[in-house]
Amino acid sequence: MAYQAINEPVEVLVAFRGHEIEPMFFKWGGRHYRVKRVNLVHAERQGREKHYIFSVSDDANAFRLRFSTETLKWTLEETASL
Amino acid sequence: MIAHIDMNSYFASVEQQANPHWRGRPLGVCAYLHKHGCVIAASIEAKKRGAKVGMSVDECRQVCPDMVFVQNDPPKYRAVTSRVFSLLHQISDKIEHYSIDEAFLDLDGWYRDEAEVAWALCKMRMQIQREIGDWLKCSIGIAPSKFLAKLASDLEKPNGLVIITPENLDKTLSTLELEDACGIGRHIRRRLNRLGIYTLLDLKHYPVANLMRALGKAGWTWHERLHGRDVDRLEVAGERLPKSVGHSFCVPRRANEQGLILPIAVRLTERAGRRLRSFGLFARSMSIQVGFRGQTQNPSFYHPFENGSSCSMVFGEPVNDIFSLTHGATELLKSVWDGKRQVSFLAVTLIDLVPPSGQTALPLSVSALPRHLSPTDAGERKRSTSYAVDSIRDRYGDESIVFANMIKLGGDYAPDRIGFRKTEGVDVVTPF
Repeated sequence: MAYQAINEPVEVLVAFRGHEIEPMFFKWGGRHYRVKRVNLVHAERQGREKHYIFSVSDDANAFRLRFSTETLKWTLEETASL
Repeated sequence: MIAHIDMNSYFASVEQQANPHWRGRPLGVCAYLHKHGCVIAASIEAKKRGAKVGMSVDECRQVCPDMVFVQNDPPKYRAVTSRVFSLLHQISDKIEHYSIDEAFLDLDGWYRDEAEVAWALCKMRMQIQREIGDWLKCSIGIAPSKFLAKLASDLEKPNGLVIITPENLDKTLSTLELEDACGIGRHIRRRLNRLGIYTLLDLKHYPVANLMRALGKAGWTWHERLHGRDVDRLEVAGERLPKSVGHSFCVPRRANEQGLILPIAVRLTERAGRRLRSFGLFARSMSIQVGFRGQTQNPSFYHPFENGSSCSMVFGEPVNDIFSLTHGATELLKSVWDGKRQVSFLAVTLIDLVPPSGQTALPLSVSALPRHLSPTDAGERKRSTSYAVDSIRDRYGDESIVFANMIKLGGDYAPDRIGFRKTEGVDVVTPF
């Protein structure tokens, strides 16, 4: 059950709660996924670009969503299924 | 009063935090996802089933067939460490970032007694679990000295809290073997056993003069440590400069077949050089270690090689520019490798690091330079070019500008690696 690289753009619906950002739903491959839990949020730098990585999950899958602060785009980087 | 915070099974816990489906399952974080890849962190569940840090993936599979393996993700661990250390900085202004998952806190003057310290640290541990991740666990040790604080945090894992005071010191030491102490290995244990010392309590009560006769100055240090006196200075974050900077890589077969040995050596040198410049230091010497396939010895950084596959050089004057370092590495590689043997391991280390002297270089050798350049000009140009290249990389990423021979080098060759004792790149927000 290792991660599988995806690296595809996705549409993400996000909630802003206080000082936190929480992905709620995303659409990938014509399907909608509801995020049950945001497990870990961390930031990475690639040169000047800062990326926020959201490790999220639903009941059966874990996903890694990347948000680029430079391009303001979301990418589904990886997924792991039960 | 010193506290030691040790994150339990750190890399594996962070991975389990990121993916809840791995929680409660044996998990190994590997340097490389290969059957010979080394497991650098094992989850608590994996450790319970016999998997240990340092085993290969194959060995772990033998003791724990359903173990899951993931490749390490250094930026993730650094980011989590930054957040954990930022929380610790709310408790004290004197913190030593001992490693990527350990820190010492000097709490003198902040709290009245051990009970208050324990209360504050338990609150901090709950804050880590609430704000960063509920699966992250840490052990806490509180004691009068750095050595005893580390000893205390090792006693109860995971999520333990142990306080060593002068009153319970003897009782605690009597239950511990010599090798439980950080700094006592197999060889020292044997020497102590010959003196009739079998536990840490025996060591504490052994006459210091006899101990010094047997171990030298280390004998006195151990005597002081076990009496709770602080002989190990707390190195506050930011004060400590590195003694060496290096990078290593286990070279796969395909890199040999594609003729990528030299580009890999250049990339390792570039990474080391960039870190050296970020510290504002210069290197007086450089060494390169090359492991060959078929060599009987296990090629590892900590084991010197046979067959003359390790070589070092001293620069004419301390350098930190890209050109001098890569030229040095290339020459060293040529001296230990004939270009034909299969290379399995490469390491580049910059040693004897010094701050800039500000001294103008004397024009002692001009033969290799164009006529219009004095040695001083050339050195200055190399340095300013190196800093310009660093600025480009800061802005556009590490691989935005590279030497021409590195163009074919994929990102999986000599990637970013995490060092247990390396806390650079861990940015901390401090309230003080």
